[in-house]
Amino acid sequence: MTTGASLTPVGRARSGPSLLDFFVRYGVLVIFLLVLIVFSLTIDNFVSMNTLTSVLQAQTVAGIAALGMTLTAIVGDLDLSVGGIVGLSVTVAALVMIKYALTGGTAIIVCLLTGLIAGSINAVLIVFLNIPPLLATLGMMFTAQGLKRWLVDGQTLVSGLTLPGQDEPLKGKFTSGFAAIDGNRLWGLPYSVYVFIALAVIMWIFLEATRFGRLFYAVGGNPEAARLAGTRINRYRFAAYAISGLLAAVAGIILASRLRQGDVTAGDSTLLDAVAMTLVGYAVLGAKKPNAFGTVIGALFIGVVLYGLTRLQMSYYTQDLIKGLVLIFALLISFSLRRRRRRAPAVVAPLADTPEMGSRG
Amino acid sequence: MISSATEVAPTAAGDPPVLQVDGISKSFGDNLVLRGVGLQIRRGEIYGLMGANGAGKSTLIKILCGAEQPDGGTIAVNGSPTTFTDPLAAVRRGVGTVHQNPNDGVILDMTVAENLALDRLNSGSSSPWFSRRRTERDAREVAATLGLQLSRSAMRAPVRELGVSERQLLVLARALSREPEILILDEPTSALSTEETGRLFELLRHLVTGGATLLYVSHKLSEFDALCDRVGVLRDGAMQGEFLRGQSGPAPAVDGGLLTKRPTARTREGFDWGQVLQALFDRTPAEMARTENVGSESVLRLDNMQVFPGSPLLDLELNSGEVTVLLGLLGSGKSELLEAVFGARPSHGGSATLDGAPFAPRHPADAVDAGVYLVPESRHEQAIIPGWSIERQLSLPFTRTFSRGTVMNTRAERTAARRSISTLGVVTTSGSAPIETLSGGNQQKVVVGRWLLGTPRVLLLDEPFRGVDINARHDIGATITDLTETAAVLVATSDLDEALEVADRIVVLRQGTIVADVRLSAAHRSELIAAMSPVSSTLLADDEHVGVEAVGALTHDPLDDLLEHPDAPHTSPAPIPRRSTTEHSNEESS
Repeated sequence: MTTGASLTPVGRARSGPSLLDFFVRYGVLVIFLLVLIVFSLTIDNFVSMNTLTSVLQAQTVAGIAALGMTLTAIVGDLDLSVGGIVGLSVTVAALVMIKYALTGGTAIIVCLLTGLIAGSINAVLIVFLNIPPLLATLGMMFTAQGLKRWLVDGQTLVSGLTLPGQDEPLKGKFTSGFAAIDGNRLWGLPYSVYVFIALAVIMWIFLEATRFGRLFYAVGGNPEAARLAGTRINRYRFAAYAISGLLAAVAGIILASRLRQGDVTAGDSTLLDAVAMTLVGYAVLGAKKPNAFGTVIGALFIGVVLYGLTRLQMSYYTQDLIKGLVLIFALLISFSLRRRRRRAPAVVAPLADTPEMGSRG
Repeated sequence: MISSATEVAPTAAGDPPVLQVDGISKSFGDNLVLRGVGLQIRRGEIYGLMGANGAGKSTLIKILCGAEQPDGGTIAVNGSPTTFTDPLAAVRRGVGTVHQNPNDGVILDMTVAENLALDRLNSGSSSPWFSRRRTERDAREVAATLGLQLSRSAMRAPVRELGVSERQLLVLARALSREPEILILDEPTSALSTEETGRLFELLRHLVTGGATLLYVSHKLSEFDALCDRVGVLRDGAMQGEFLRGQSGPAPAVDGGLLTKRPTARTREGFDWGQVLQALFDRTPAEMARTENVGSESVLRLDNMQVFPGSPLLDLELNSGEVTVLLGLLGSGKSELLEAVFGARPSHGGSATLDGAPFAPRHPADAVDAGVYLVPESRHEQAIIPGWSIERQLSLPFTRTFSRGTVMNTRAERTAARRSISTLGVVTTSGSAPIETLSGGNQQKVVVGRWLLGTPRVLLLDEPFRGVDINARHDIGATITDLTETAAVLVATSDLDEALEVADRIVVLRQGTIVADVRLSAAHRSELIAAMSPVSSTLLADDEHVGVEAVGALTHDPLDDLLEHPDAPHTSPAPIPRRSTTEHSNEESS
């Protein structure tokens, strides 16, 4: 019946995988490896538990936020509110424990609820009220930042602070249990790092191996096709933004545990760090799409480069410059490098222009 | 393989062909798609190019329009060899192309006028200030090349609101306005109604009289009959021969006496279609004839459905055991009806009964769970996830079936995909290849085949043969005919030829109403045409340009003669009822 089936491959492709293909696929990993080798040769004691701890701990907060952002990037667009939610979460934790003197457990629950609510508001704005994702989350970013400042009258909440209009100083403090999240260690690594690792592994398995992960990618790839294949796309888009808010709150809890005060500037740098990690992730293994493994590699890559350069006496204010260059490099791999089209070998046009033009001259 | 079977008679001495192609080859990875294709197109002719599924037709066109680079071979325009490094270079050398997917050629969020005037807006010599009046004047000029008359409101409508055929007309108008040396038309009618097609053909003939040269790619025999004097057949990446009108062409593979050449009733002698078809798919026309199946068991019943707000109520009963075709022009409400049944759009009232039980899906997911599946109209926009492998495209609706707990069982997925690929005859090197590596026909097989992994009770197909070549069409037709053993199948199409090819029963829809419901054996072309086409698209509303004559030519399909199809009277095509200017505007509401 099918005569078309007779068109089986006849000749093998003449050229194998090119160097460019290899670079697109493994470029980030290879350069990451080179960076590690160079640092280990030039920096004393670079290969150590200390380095590992520093890098991981430095990237944990933004890394967790980036995992949520990865999920939203799959179904729609980057979630710009993660930084705001991280900061809000820090303030909420401080309020619960310092102002209201409640337990660490309560603080965690309230923070998670805050993140979930903020994420769900994003989701409602995007899914049901049809606001473009980037704009909706931008609005939420400002709202969360504003809310954070308003809740504490622009003050940094610390134990013993006297709020304006009140007689007695605040008597609550960060509980030791809450502080242990980022402070105590197990096998040399802070608990918070294990949270990051666990969330990364869960997200990776979820996206790569489960049918829900598959459908998240389907919704992102072609929402109408996914819908007509029977996928309830609104649920997936809603879930992505809600989970992103929740993960941002987790990141905020860890940051609060690290700062142990309600710092109003907390989380300000998280957004751009998370964006960078997510986008660098596009370039890992030639994925050209958001993916959990890439995001983690992005986090580690940026972390190692910053750590190494800091150890090499690079001042801290060059950090953003470094991040920017790493990001642009990764974006070039993702978007600009593409196998060059093979040109027809035999003939080259003798005239660039039409014959009439040539004869006229 | 025969690369050039015919000696082309030289035209005027020293006059080189407008387009000469020699030994073009191209491979994608392991797939050798073109293996030394050669053809010559002379000035002022319409060269017809036919090709079956995976024959390499699309690849050849991509090379000719500069979108792909060949691995070997030469292209010469007006005798001077050239390479097209990019599509713009091809356009500059006078090779214009109209692709089969009109969305490739329009900007959806710009207005009709802006789209038409795009070339002028882009040209460096135009004023830097945007003027709506000038844009609309330019647009009118461009539209005039196709005889389109646009109202002011039509000019200011975003292209997104237009139907596919109207978008196609815009693309055509723009390509024609550039006055190309040679215009490549890649299945330009796949989205057009019969009447619009007739209008287009009249225009193409007019262009050729004026010295234009056309390369016309299609899979519809009647179109070659109406347009071309020479037809080349591409199969397995090589030319299988060229055929001249009225001549028994070179028949490389035909045993004598397979087909007695019979004189047709037409004044103009046609092509030797028997041999053309033989070259096209190694199969004689007699083997393609088919008998009507009669369904028995009622599967889905629609009561008092309303397709458009305010349109009359509609009842329809679908049976298993037969293929029902829903025939209607653009805007007749086919897609709306199918999508409403599938739960993909809110219905305007009415009820459905599936196997005796009420069926009211509120989301496509409900329909899928009930075994009611839809193959949507636009493959790229509505069916395919870009970049995904064939395996994943196939399993998309049934990830639950292919998972343990929530974890995907990729082995089961791969096994099922391999089975689908072989039963559907998908031409591919591997199930893990991205779907974009397939030809259009093979992509469509995957999109249809995805539903066979479920338990179909009702399969709705919206224009499943659009942009699908003749061989894939037969394969898909065979697949859905087999499916009728267990499911009711409804194929929506605007193409009468396609309808007659797959249908056991034909239901004609016009402006949301069923106006005819006939068995295949009782179907008459002229009556079906009269039933389905009271009006054409809104853009072609002008009375004087309607190409009735051309439509008449199209109502005769040489396949009819060959396949001993329903013996419709071919002699007198029904006159197309004119519309009054005030009447109806359903297209706009759709």
